[in-house]
Amino acid sequence: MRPLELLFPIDFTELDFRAIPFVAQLVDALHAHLTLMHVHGDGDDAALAAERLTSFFAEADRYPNSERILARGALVDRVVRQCATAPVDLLLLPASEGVWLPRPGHSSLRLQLLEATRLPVWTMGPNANVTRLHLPTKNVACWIDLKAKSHPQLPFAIEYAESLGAQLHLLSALPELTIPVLYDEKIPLHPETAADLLRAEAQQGLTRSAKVAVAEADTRKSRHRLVQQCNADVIFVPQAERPLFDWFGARPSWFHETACPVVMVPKEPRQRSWSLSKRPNEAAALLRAS
Amino acid sequence: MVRVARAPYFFAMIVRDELSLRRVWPQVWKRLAFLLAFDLAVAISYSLFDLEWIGQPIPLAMVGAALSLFLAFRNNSAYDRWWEARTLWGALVNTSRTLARQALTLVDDPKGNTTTGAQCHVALVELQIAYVHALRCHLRKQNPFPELQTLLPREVVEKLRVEKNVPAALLLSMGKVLKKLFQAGRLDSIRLTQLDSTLVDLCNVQGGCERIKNTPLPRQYEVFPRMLVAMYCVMLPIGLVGTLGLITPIASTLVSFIFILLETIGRDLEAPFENAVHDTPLTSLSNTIELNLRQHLGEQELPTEVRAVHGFVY
Repeated sequence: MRPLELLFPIDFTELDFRAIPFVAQLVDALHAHLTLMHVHGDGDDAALAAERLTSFFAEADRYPNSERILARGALVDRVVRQCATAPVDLLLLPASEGVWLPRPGHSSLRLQLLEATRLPVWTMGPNANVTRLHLPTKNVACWIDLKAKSHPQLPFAIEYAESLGAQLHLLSALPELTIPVLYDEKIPLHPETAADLLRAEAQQGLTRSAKVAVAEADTRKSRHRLVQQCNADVIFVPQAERPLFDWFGARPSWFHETACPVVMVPKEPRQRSWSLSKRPNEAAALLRAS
Repeated sequence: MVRVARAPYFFAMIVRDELSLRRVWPQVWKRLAFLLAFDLAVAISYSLFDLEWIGQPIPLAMVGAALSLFLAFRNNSAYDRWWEARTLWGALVNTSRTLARQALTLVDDPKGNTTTGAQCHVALVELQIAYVHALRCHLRKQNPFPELQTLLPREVVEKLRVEKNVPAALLLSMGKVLKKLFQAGRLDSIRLTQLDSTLVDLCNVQGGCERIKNTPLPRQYEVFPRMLVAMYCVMLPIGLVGTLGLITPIASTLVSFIFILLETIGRDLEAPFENAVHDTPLTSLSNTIELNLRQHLGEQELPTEVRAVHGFVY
């Protein structure tokens, strides 16, 4: 099995520190290769930035596969360039401290990087239960939107669960009844039908069958309840839509409030899955080609 | 783009003489924003809409003094925990150096031409380095194995994976090394007792740290200060508006900020091993120990310096 390539762009926020147990756990469980990257501004002292970078998560220097990269310039540009020149499977981007005030026109850095790199992004909101981050992953949840035509997050969730020997939980909720929904034959309107559909979607690539839970109403509360009920250690979600309300920064996405970390998968990822079972050279070539 | 080389280690600072408000702000701003809105509502209602019944003569000075005493008592208890954690890790630094010195000076060279177990005393020092890192991870609830893989042989790491308490298992391994050295005639019973008492000291340090980690401050200290501070902050504008009028929100929010800050500081200090920027600088301290021990072993490649990041050393 080839190692998972992790890129952790850091800005020394408190949540960056709090994400460390999860990173350590992932490095151990998947023999992941960790790259810690700090991008500093043009006017900043490079020597000071280098000193801070070497001091952050100092124990990572003892990890078998880890490196630190210091870059100058705009964060998004440098991260995109790094992803283009080196194999990266997963970006680690804990959320910044929310101000909970409207920020008109604000676009989340995570979303910008997700769109620019087309790589899955691991993130953790301020409500994440950090006391569980060091525990081995036993339950992997995957949120499926029944109205969506494709589910790019599903192959990643399956591969992640399989690599860690964890139980996969497929979570969904029946959509609100609108005329387009009623006319679309492919959208199930009964929990049992929806559960059958989800099982069929996840049949390939799983050694043990996925557990399925479908809520009857698609509300924030029901989504959180499903995540809580399956005791998820991590949840895979599709790239968040940005309705007008969110453009004003008034309310974060629902998964931002969950107690477990989240892996957000772009609509059109660079690769359909990580291909961790492939040999390192083959997988790196695939990633570069994509 | 620069790939950062590992810098030589000089000395680590615990905290710098700066404290950025942005570290404190996320913890207090929500409550302050709510209180400011409430203060404004009280001041405007009293001054502009003549709702004079809002202003009540509340003995704010007396209540404030009592609350300050309560908060000071609680913060002292929290600081005691933080300081005890720091003292225990200071003791760990000293005991580790003592153990390394004893292992390198009190153990005799192998007798005759035998090379079996010749490096046992070096292995003891390496186990001690691994022990310190394992204890840090144990207290911070962090997976120690990626680090241990580079410090210990693979088969030892695999055996440790089944252990619930990895540092305690490493202490046991050190005890077994001592037994082996005693049986090989490289230690007499007096020196064995000395070395074993150093292991007992390590065990006591670990026990002290686990006691702090597993026994939180009584929940009354968590709930009541928060509740009483909230009540006092709500009473403030009601008691002040009669004398200060429209200036009430400024004075009231400032006083509230002080009390909320006091309450927050106590909460930060009470858990010194919580993997946060405010806890005991375990990474820095364990690096110091590793550096000292590797120098005792005569090694040239030393660990990276851990310096303060934004005024905090981790």
